Amino acid sequence: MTDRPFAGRLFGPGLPGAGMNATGCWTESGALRVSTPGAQPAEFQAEALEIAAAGFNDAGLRISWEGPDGAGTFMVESEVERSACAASAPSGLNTRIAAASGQRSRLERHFRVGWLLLALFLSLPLIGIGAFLLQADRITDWAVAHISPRHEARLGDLVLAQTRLQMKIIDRGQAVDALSSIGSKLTSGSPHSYRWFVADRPDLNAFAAPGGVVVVFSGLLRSAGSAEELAGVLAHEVAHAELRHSLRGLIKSLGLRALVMLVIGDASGGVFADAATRLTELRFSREAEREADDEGLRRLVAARIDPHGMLRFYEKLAGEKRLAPPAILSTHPASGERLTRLRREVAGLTQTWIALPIDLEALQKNIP
Amino acid sequence: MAMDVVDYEIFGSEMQYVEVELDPGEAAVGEAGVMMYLQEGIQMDTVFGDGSQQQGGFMGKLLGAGKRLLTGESLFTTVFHNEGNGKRRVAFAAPYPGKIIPVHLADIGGTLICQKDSFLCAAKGVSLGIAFQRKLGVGLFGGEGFIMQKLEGDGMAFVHAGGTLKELVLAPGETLRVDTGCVVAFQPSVNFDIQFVGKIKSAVFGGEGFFYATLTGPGKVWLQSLPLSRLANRIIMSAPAVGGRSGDQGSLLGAGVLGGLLGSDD
Repeated sequence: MTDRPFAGRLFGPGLPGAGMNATGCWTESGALRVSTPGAQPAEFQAEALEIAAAGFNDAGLRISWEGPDGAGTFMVESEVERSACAASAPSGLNTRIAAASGQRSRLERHFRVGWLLLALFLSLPLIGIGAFLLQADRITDWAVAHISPRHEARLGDLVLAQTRLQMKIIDRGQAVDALSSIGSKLTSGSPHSYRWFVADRPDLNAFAAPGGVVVVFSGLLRSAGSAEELAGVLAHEVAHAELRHSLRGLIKSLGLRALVMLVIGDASGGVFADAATRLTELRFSREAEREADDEGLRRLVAARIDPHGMLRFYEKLAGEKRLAPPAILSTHPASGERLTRLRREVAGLTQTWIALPIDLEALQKNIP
Repeated sequence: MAMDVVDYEIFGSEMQYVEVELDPGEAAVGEAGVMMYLQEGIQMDTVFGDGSQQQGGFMGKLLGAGKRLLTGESLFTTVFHNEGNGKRRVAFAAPYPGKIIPVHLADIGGTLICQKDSFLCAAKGVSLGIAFQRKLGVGLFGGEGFIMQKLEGDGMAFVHAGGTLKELVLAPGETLRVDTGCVVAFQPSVNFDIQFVGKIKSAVFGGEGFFYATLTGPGKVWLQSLPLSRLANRIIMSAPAVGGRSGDQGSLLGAGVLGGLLGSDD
């Protein structure tokens, strides 16, 4: 047993309320001797001492006693002094000092666990986003599988209504009849009931909304060289609709935005308000385009429509790209790779084709 | 570290400011933006961090500044240095109604734990640190949050709080129950904890919340009568611009009609 002194602060009757600096040490007989500058050291027997962790964050060791004129306390606050106090304490007090430090470390542990839980809770949305990004395809597959064709058609109505505000939509006439007669060959056995429209726009473009709404721009109708070329474009768009590409895109972006909103709050106003607008301008991924090409080709072949038309139209697009990129390219990135691929597929086909009974020239003359 | 000894005088009653007298070569640190006036000969210098480390690397400074950001203070503190020949004075004003508490850190053992955002100014050499509240319950319901401020040194420090200040001495083992939010500062020997009010009825309808803050001695504590958040709440509640009650408790005509016509100045 050493008598290494330890510094602390003494509180008690007759002392300033804020306490005063003092040094304590354990005597040979196991008593606590507290000395303050300019005063007689006082000694307290170990049996009369009470020891506990106390103070802010239980960071101090409180040694207190009942004196004749009131309670006194010696607070050992800093860690160094505390361990000096514990090291030289009489063996009878060791368990109580250990209990006090146990209380302190329990507090520390709870604090750490608490912060860990809080950090985990706060990062939940981020984890959610991460999981969503990793599993986006599977989650979208699952969500898309739960949407019936009837609801999809309702979405299509919404898109159509939006489109009507932006451009003139023609829903009857020779051109629409021609589209639906080609289209019905391509869409046999589909759960959707297809509706065909012509938009009065000079762009070389066409799009498919969810639920079997296909809109072909009049610019595209005019530039088609044959009914088979037109059928090629329709097949591609029908494939998009059948594979539910725009629906998947919508669900993906909605889900992502909902998650982002969870994290950073409502940053962009109503999510659902502009979702319909977004539908019309959805861009498909390269995979989606390739899928649509394959599926379109398969449908053309099944309908016994010459797929060389599709190929010719794609070549025409690729050729025009160098001059001024047609609008359809911005939404349908026709890469050279896609064209070569399609060429290879078409070259391998040996079926005989049935010509489409459509007078394209007369139709083109009558487009408003 | 040698602390600068400063003389001071506090002026005003409810909206106070403190005037600090600096001997030649002495300096004081103030929270950025609280300086009210300075006499000729005093150099103002803005430092990154709390200005207590005379030397210390860039990382040390960055850490100090980060701590200040956590406690709600600004990144920079301002150091006022007397470069003149005689005594010069600089004044720091409290930012909202309340009292300024002068604390001589040497008298209380060198450390003071106080509410974040309550630091006003101090002698140069006092270090401003953070004291994390490690008791989860106290951090959540004690009214002071998890982050408190720790002033260390042996010079003068000035802390500011709302309303009227009460300085109390708690004897060893003496416990005081305080409304959460009213605790301003205490010595580190004081145990700061919470206690459930005891009855569901008083918790729900008593208006004091679910918990008291409890302070157990020994040591000195400082309490404020009006936390700024409570004052701000009352002001917002009666501010017409944000949908509060307009009109005061004057006569019907004065408040309702003429008050509305004549009282608005925008």
